[in-house]
Amino acid sequence: MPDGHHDPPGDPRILGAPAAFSPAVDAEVGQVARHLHTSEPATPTGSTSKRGGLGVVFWIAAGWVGLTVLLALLAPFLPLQSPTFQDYSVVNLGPSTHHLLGTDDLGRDMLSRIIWGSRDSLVISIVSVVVGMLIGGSAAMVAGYWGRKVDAVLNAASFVVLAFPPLLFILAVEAFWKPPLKSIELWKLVVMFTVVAAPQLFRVMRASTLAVSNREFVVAARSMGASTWRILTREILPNVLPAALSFALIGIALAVIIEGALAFLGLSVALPTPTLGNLINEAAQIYNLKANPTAALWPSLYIFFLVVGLNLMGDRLRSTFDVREGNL
Amino acid sequence: MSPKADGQLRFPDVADLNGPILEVENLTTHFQSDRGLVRAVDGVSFTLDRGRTLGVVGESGSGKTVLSRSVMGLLQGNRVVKGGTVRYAGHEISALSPAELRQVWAVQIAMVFQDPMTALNPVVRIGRQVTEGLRIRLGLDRKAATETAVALLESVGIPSPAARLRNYPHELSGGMRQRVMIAIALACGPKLLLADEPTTGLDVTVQAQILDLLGEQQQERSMAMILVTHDLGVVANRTDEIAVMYAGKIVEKAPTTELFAHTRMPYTEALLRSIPRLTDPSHMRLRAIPGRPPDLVNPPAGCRFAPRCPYVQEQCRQAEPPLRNAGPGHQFACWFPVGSSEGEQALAYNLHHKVPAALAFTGTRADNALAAVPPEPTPTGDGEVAS
Repeated sequence: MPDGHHDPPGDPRILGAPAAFSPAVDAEVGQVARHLHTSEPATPTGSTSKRGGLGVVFWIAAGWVGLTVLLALLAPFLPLQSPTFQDYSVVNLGPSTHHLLGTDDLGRDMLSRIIWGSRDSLVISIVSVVVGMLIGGSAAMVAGYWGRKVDAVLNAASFVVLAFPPLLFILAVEAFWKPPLKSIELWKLVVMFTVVAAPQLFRVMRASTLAVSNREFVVAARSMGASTWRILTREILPNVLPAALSFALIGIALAVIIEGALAFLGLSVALPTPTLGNLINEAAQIYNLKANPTAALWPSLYIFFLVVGLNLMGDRLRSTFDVREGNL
Repeated sequence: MSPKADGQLRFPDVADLNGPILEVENLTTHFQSDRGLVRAVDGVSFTLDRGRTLGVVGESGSGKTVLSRSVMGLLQGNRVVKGGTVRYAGHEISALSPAELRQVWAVQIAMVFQDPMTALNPVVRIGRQVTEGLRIRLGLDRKAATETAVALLESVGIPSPAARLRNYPHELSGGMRQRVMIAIALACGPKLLLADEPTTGLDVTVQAQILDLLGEQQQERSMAMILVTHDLGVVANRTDEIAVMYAGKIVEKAPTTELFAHTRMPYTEALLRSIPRLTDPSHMRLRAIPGRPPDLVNPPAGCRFAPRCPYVQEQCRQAEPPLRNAGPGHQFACWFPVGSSEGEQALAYNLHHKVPAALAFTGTRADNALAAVPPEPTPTGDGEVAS
């Protein structure tokens, strides 16, 4: 109590309390406090480097993933051979200046095939997770914010979809749905992956929306007349997104792997279109593997580092944005 | 006057208003729970004139927060059972739809929330949180809103406000955050401010600063204010009138000085007694009120404070005392009020029979009461009580 040395005035029944807030003491306290505050440095404290906050590992991982995505995007403009161009004079070569990563059993340039292959693999993984996040995420926010019946229905729907083993689901679709055109084969995979990804993202985002919706600042925003749309997009979404993003990164990594697994079953995009999974699958046929093991090694390493990079990023983001009230 | 014309709500300029800015009549807010109906606010009535301050005091769970949120109409949902009327500047806002209420909030009535740690969005910069209301509700453009926000933050005593706009809430101290909360609430120039325990979780010196700030702003803006708190010391010299709540009801209401000078309700007296005094010997036990507030699902018949009351008699357990007048603006609900002969008699009787709640009283008052074997008390009538 700041008033230990003051004589408490007034009604003895309310001693202590009013004295604690007597104007004289308040003024004194106020001045001291004001002095303290003005002596603070004027620069915002947020200037401690955000880059440092995420760590070197994150940026190496992000750099690698970024490079991968960039190469995939720029594939048509890079000085690469066509990934399907066959040159029987250079079959199963090791790395050389003409073919940086060598050639495969049909004399196709491995570097070109990996870059073009990652293009399809990344389109499948990224598009399906992003679309899954849009669908699952918006459903999650609706369910988490409104609760009750809306939540019960959407929740049940997500459980129904989750109840299918993903691989079995994909096999079933593959068996019954033949796309009319070869060119949309890729998008069939995107649709299937989206169906698998959406309910998982729904669950993660619904849980965090539920937690955030009951926080006081949502009521506070409402009391300032914010519309429901505004509360969802500007109050709740920024709180939900970081966790969802890190989950999505790991989801993309998972999708890359699942594509590889499907290719192994011959269910990825039809050959000869290269995808990372198709590359490994082709090169890992027993006669190829003996003749030219590096043809399987390069795409495997490529997938490995891509997945490790995505996982490291996701993990780092998760631990950074895992904000707990107590740490504030 | 019609509350609605072309869908916009029109409120008279508060300066032209004759009559109170806020009239609350028999307000009830019950919640449906699995155990039954929780009577969080159970028939509360009061009026508030413009520019005046009402303190609402009570311990945790007495319904203060629910009361302030009910007044504002913030409690919505199908488990909330609402009753009674709230009239703001003559309009019955308790009958408005959520969409209409949004026109009232912020611009007419705003709220300062209890905990600045949770009532600010942790991942949104201060600047956007302050300017949001200005831009949506007052339609200011980005530049004007930012300028207003800087002025607002400056007026609530935040140093280098322009730099603070770029901060996140966790970069500010608790006191600073509460100042930001106040700035947000004041942003759209409300005529009525509801401050729901604005100083909980702040240390005593900062509490004083925040309360001073609220007082200053209220004066400058001639705004009416309801200050909800569990601390009688907080409201003692900052309110015009005090309402003491217990178990969802107002049990005593009086102008501030009158309440402290002529306490009637034993609960108010117990609250006052529980404040530690500077003249107390050190290491003295705190005079806490024994027991706990009643279960709001099954409140006791009769007076709800009866199980904890030092003055309690058979009458109190059977019949609920009505709110009675004791002088201008002073109302209380008690059969054996403090300071009346009936009350003294009841206390003496209880002391003599060693009623546990009464044994909290010690010292000369208890000695005097025990000097003679007291007769059984009879409750006061419905009329005025002699003081």
